[in-house]
Amino acid sequence: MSIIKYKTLKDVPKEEFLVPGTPLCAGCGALQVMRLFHKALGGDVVWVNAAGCVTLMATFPYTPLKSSWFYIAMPSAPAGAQGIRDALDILIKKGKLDPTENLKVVVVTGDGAASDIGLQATSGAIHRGLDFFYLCVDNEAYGNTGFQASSSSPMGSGTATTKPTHLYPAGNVLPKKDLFEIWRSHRPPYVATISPSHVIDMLRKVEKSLSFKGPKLFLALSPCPTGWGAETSESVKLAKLAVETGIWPLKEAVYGEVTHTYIPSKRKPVEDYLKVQRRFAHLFKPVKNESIIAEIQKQVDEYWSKVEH
Amino acid sequence: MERGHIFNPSYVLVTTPSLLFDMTVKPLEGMAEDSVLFVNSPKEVSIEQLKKIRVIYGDLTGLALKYVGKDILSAAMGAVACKLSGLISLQSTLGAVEEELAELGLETDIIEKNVQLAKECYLSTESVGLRGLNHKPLHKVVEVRYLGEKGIPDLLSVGNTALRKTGSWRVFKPIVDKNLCTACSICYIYCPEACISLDERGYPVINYDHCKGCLVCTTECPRNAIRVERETAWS
Ligand code: SF4
Ligand code: SF4
Ligand code: SF4
Repeated sequence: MSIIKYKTLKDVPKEEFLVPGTPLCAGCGALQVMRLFHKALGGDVVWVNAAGCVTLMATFPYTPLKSSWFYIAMPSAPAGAQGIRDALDILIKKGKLDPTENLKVVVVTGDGAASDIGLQATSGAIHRGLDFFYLCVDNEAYGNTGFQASSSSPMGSGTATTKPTHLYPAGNVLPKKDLFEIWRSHRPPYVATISPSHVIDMLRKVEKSLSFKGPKLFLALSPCPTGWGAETSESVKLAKLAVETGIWPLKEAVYGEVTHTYIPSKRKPVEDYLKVQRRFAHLFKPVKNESIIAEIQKQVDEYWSKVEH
Repeated sequence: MERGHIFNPSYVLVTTPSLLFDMTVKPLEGMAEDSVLFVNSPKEVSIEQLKKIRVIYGDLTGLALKYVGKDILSAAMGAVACKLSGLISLQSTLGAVEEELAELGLETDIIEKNVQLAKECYLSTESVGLRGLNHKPLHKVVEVRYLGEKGIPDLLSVGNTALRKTGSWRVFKPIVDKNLCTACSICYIYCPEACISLDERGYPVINYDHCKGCLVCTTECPRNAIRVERETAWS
C-alpha cells in the first residue's frame, strides 16, 4: 500500500512556484490549475508551452514562474518536450549535468493546441513513450484570440465562431472531442481528468503519476470567466458544478484501465451548470430550448449509465 | 475597422492608472506635447512625466457601477474617446453602443443601461478635438523610463511578474474578518493568483499589491468571513 500524501486541504503544499502579477484575467481557472498542479509537481520543472492563454503568463521580460519556461509553435509542444528531455538525459549521461539538477518536462497547452493543432505531435510523443507530463488547461475554446470554437467546445455553447443564429439555435452543433479517450487509446502509463474545484483529487493524481516513467497526461477543466460569460468570483463554483452535474467526470486511466475517482452520489441537473454561463444563455432566452438541454442531459446520463454498471 | 500601430497618438485612453507605467504596455510612448491622456481614475495621478501633456481624469468605474452595476468599461471608454475626438456626435456614439452590444446578444435592458452610461460619459467629458493631420511631432516630449528604475529584467529572472502591481485591476476589495475566520485555508487554496498567504497561525493575509479582486475567495469562504468593499485606494 502506498502512503497517501494528500488527505486534507491542510496537506496542500505551501510553497508557491507561481508568483502574482500575471496578465491573465481575474478568476482564470487555467491559472488556478497551474498554480495547484505546480505545487504537486514541485519546483524542478521545465514547462513547454504552445500558444494559448497561459502563454501570456510568461511574455518577455516577465514570468510569474520560479521554474523554467520554453515557448514553442502551436503544433509542436510535445516535440519540444522530446528535445528537452533528450538533452537533459544526454547531459546527465555524459556527466555534464548533475542528476540532482534533472527536471520534469511538462507540456502545458490549452485545448486548441491539445485537441486540434498539436494533436499529431502529442500522439507521436505518447507513441514513443516520451517521459513527460502533459497538462491541458481546457477552457473549451480558443480563449486567447477571442473565444473561437475549438474541437473541445461543448455542443450547445456559443463562441465567437458558433454564435446562435436562427439556422443554428444551439450555437455549436458539434460534440466535444473526447481527448481523454484519444490519449487513453495510446495506452500511456497515466491519463487523468482534473478540476480546480477538487484539489485533493488533483494533487493525489499528480502524486500517483510521479511513479510512472513515460507519458503522463492531465486534462483540466479550466473555467474561463471571460469566455464563458460568468462572474470572476464563480470560477471554482462552476468547476464544482461541472463535476456535480456529471458533465466533467473525474477519472484516471493507468495503462488504459479506467477508474472514476469521484462519482457524484446524486447528479445535479445539467441545467444548473448551463444556466449560469452566458455561452449557454441562448438555451434559456428568449425561449427555453428544451430539446437541446434535454440532449445534453441525455448524453451525460448515457455516459454515467455505463460507469455505474 | 482599422487596427495597427499608432506611433504618435493624438490621444490615449487608459483604463487603469497602473498601466501608465507598465513596462510592457508603455501607453505613453510616442505622446507629444499637444496630445491628450484620459485616465480612468477617481483621483489624480501625480507623476512628473504627466505634467507635460494634458491629462483628463474620469471615474468611469464609478459610473459603470452606478448605471450597469458592474465594472464593465467598454461603452464608457468608447463614449469618452468619441467625445474627446470632437468628431463624433452623441447620437452616433449611442447608436454604435447599441448596435455593438446587440451584436453580442446582450439583453435589451443591459444595452439600455450601457447606453445611459455612455451618454453620461459623453456629456461629462470635454471635447479636445484631434490635432491637425499635417502635424509632425519633432520629438517625443513624454519620456518615460519604463526600464531602469527597478532594474532590467533579463531572461534568467524568475517570478518577476511581481513587479507588475495587478492590484490596480481591483474594483472590489476582499477583506478578511478575523473574528469570523477559522483559518481553514480554503481561500488560500483557491486564490488563482497566489495572492493569499497564511500567517504563522494559519490565518489568511491578502496581498493587495497584486490581488485582482476576482472574489473567488469571498465566494468560497465557508464562514462568509471575507467581506467586499469598493476599492478606492488605487490611483
Ligand atoms: S480568456 Fe479565459 S482562459 Fe484565457 S486568461 Fe482569460 S479567463 Fe483565463
Ligand atoms: S479577490 Fe481573487 S485575487 Fe484577490 S485574494 Fe481573493 S481570490 Fe485572490
Ligand atoms: S476561507 Fe474564510 S474561514 Fe477559511 S481561512 Fe479563508 S477567510 Fe478564513
